[in-house]
Amino acid sequence: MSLDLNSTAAQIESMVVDLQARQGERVRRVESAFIALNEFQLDRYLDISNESQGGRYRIVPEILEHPSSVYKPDLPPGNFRVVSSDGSHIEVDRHLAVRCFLINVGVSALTYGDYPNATLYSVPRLYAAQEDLVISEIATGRQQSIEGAVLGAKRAVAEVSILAEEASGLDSNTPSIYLVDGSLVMMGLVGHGYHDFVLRELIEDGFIKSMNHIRDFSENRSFGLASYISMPAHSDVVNALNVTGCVYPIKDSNLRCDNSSFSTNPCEKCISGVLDRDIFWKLLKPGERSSVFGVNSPVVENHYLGTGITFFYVNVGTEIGRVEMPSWVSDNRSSLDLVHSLIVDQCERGRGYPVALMEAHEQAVVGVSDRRNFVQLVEQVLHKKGSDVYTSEKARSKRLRWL
Amino acid sequence: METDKKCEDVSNVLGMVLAGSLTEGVRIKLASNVSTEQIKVGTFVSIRGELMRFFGVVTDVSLDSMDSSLTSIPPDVTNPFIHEVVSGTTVYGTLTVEPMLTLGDDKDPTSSLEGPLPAKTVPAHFAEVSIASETDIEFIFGKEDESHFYIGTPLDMETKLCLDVKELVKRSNGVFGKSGTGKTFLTRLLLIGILQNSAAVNLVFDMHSEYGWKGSSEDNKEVKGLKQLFSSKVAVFSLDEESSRRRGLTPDYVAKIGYGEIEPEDIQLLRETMGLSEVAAESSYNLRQRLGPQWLRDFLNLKSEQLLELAQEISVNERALSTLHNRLSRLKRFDFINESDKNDSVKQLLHYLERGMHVVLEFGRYGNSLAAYILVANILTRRIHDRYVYLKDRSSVDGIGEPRPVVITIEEAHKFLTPGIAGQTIFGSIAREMRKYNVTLLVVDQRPSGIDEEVMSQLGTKITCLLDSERDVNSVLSGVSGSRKLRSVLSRLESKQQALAFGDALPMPVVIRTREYGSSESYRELGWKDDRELAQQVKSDVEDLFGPDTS
Amino acid sequence: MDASADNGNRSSDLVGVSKGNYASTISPFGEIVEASTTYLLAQCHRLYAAPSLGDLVRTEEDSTAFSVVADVSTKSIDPSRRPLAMSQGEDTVDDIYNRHPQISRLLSTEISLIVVAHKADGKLFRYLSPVPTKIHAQVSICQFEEVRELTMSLEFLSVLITSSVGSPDDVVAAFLRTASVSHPDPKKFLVDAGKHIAAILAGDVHRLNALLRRIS
Ligand SMILES: Nc1ncnc2c1ncn2[C@@H]1O[C@H](COP(=O)(O)OP(=O)(O)O)[C@@H](O)[C@H]1O
Ligand SMILES: [Mg+2]
Repeated sequence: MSLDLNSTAAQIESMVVDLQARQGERVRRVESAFIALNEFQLDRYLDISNESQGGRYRIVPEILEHPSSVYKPDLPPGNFRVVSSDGSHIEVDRHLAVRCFLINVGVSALTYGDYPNATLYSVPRLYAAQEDLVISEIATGRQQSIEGAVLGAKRAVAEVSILAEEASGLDSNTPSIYLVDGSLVMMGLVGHGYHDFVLRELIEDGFIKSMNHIRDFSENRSFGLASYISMPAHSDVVNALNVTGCVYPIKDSNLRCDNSSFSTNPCEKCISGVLDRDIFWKLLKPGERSSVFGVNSPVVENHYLGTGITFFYVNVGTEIGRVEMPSWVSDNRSSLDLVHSLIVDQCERGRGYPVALMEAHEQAVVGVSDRRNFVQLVEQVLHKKGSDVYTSEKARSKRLRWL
Repeated sequence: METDKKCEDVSNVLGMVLAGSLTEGVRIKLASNVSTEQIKVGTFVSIRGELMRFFGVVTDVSLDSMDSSLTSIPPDVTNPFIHEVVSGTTVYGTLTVEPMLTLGDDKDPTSSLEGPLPAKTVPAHFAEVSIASETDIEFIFGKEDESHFYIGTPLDMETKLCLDVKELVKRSNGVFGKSGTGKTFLTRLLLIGILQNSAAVNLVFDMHSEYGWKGSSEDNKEVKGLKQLFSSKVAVFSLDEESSRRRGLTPDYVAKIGYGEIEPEDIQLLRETMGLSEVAAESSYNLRQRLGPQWLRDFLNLKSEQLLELAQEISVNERALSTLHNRLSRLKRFDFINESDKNDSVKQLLHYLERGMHVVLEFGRYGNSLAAYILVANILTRRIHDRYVYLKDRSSVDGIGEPRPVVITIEEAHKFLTPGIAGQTIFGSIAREMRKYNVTLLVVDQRPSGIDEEVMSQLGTKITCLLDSERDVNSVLSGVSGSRKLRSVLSRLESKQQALAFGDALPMPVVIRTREYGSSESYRELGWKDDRELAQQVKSDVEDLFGPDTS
Repeated sequence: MDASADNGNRSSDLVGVSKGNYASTISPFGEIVEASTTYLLAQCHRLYAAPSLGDLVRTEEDSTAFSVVADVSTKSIDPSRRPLAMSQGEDTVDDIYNRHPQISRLLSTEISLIVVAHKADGKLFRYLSPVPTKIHAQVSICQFEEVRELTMSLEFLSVLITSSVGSPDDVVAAFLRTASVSHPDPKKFLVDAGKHIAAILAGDVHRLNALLRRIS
């Protein structure tokens, strides 16, 4: 996945809190936030958030039940399956006259219970054909080359689509969950001025289509689809607390507390810089999850074709993780409970991180030497085909090989 | 049959040739399944060379290892498996084998018809070595037949090993060994061999009366003499009839010697035995000259005062003469000496011998007197020799048949053949002149070092049992090739019934276990028939002549 | 790696190849992943389903190569990922594998093989083939008769003894012990083989002792 700038900014801010404020200050703020959480007035919040409904951005979550609610996990079923995918990519455009890239998606399918089994594999795909390298709108002839955040999104699509393939092969009634790494919200594509056709192609015709495939296969089954975010730097719930608790006026534009530089002007009640995971670490005991929140995001609103994205926080023993799901999962209480219980179980088996995700990642990673081999392979093939592929980089390294 | 033989071959493989030379012998590495303890010095081996087969004798057995550090850090032989593995590989036994003969091409049977030849080279590297087979032994030493007499078995083998009797009687031979080692038993066998082969006739000066009628073994059991086994071919002469009769024998002839038959030379031979000085012995020649053929009788009849006179007359030292008189008077005690000049003992003897009869002269009680033995043996041998010289010369002139070869057996041979006198005595001449006059000697002695070296070197075949002293060993082996190795073999003989035989009658030196003699089984093997068998034989002979008795 | 291989009954994986006894039917247990004329590395099709040390195996393609199992190792397929200790309390090894099914996919059992002989045109040669076995060639355990035929003569023993793969003495000892059973007189076979070894190790009594003790 490409870098999620929003969460990056929040992380930096939290880092600033860590660095600038003494530990005591931070503890105090987390304490305040925790009190705010318990004193949270759902009615008031719904009012305020409805008021600002007309605003351009709504980055406070949808809260349906009191955020201090706590759920214990069910015991995992006797037999179950966890299928995960993760991807990595190699971009080789910088050194080659010919541009191309490779996406390698790793998959792990782990079966537990009476017949334990594991299937691990990876599917590498090279994108080199002209039509592979761009996203184009046939009607207008506009093109968007696949690189940067678009490539990241393309990879996320590949990850989910391979899970859809896995799900289609599913023939048993074994309870299963499908897990991807990172967020289900493709925030990376927001705010870079990408044309709609790019978002449509990647999200509507890619990401959502694959998720819907999975949904279709999952009908009448004990089933779940989710993404797992380790060390989540989100502050959605904290923002919601701010909306109802901060003494400073909320800036109309982004509902943010004005007093972000609390070191210069400390505020008794200010909870800025506190992350969701900080308060849920206090709230949740190992295995427990929070209530389910809804993501309020224009991307989801505009491009997810009606599928909402929801999330909860869960104490996996060593940390608070954030689990995101399509709404059709969280709307089904048994699916939700399955996701909760199996993620807790996965983290237990995986020393704090879902095993299936870790293995998928291991399958996906392309090592440095593989990366080099891949570049060389591409060069060789191109060279054979008669095109002079030597780049300046390559030529230089050739020269340097003298001893 | 074919496969049987193969199996036998495999189990007999001892090892392979590794190194060596003709002079030092070849070194054999023992196969891992053969322990040094199984192989004795003197064992016959056959070596399959590339072009021919070699026949040799083990002369040394030693232990070796591939790595000298093994002696300081021995392998873990407490573990039986390791012990089995290591022996024969890391540590192994070696043999030194003296290649003696070559047998021609193994694959071409006709080539071995030539018979064994002395080995003039060594087998090639890694040639396979095995214990000699029965067939090998038979092929080399001959199969038991008229001219090959079974004398004993090779060490650790049951094969009959034979002497070539025809070769044996061509020259004088010797049987040696310290007292009690089996000389007499061996000699008895040799005599039988000669007798059965009829290549020659025997004349035995039987000092201790062991050959004629009966002898005794160490455990005081009687063993049969020649007369008992071959009565029709053997005549026993006796000097002591009484003793012979006492022992159950009626001698064919009671031998007497007349004083007139004693010559001064005989006195010479008695010098040492009778303690005569040179001067005294020499004076017998003067006496002979002065007194004529009956010199001894007349001399012994002289009174002491007459001696003085005689001494002056023949100008010899008076005292010497009286000593001589004194000593020779002892001869009067020998009853077989008489004053008659009509004794025909020699004539009878020759008569028997010429008829092909083997004669044993028993000494009876006189066997205890060396003087009697020397005197009689010397006188008779001289007379026989004279006769043979005459017959032989005449045969070449007249073209009539040669006299039948005679083998004269003497015990205590060194008394006749001491270096000082061997040059003059009749025995010395016989030994030296070989078979010129068809007379040869079989000398039996426990002290071969006392025998003149030249005589020793003239002996064709020597069979020696264990010897006492280095000097005796030296004298037996002197002039024999490979004597160093034979010496080690000789010194390791058992104290009884084992002998080292070498010389003309054998293609190569060999250690034998002397054939058993004394059991009825052994007699039967030698062709003797007991009374019942004899009766049966007579009956069948009669039937052959007249047809079955139908009455 | 065969991702779809059934891992249903993992405990039978552990005894997938009957230990020390030469099979009566040939079914490949692994595949060559590294090859030279003298040395082969094979990967087992199933985790831990390796033949025993000293077993004689064959690789089949144009000609048959015979080699001896000199080392068996199981380790992480990815050299940068090390297995971590996992057991909790009274866990058995099977419990751990059941709780973490992916582990058996991330480990592989490899077998180092010392090439000792080859067969071409139906003829057995007790020395190296001039060309190495190909990568991905299937490896199977030799049958009883093949073991006997090969060990009729032991001139290739020095190759095993002088090899530096694994612990050569144990390899030789295990090889001989296993092969001995294929001969009518196992004791005699071992003694003869021992004598072979004694000749090769002349000058190194310590090693000879040690090796022979392993055989006896
Ligand atoms: N060939 C043999 N057969 C049986 N016994 C023998 C044989 N050779 C030697 N002996 C035994 O050894 C003893 C000594 O042998 P003998 O010939 O009297 O010795 P020597 O004449 O050398 O003094 C005999 O009494 C006999 O018991
Ligand atoms: Mg990822």
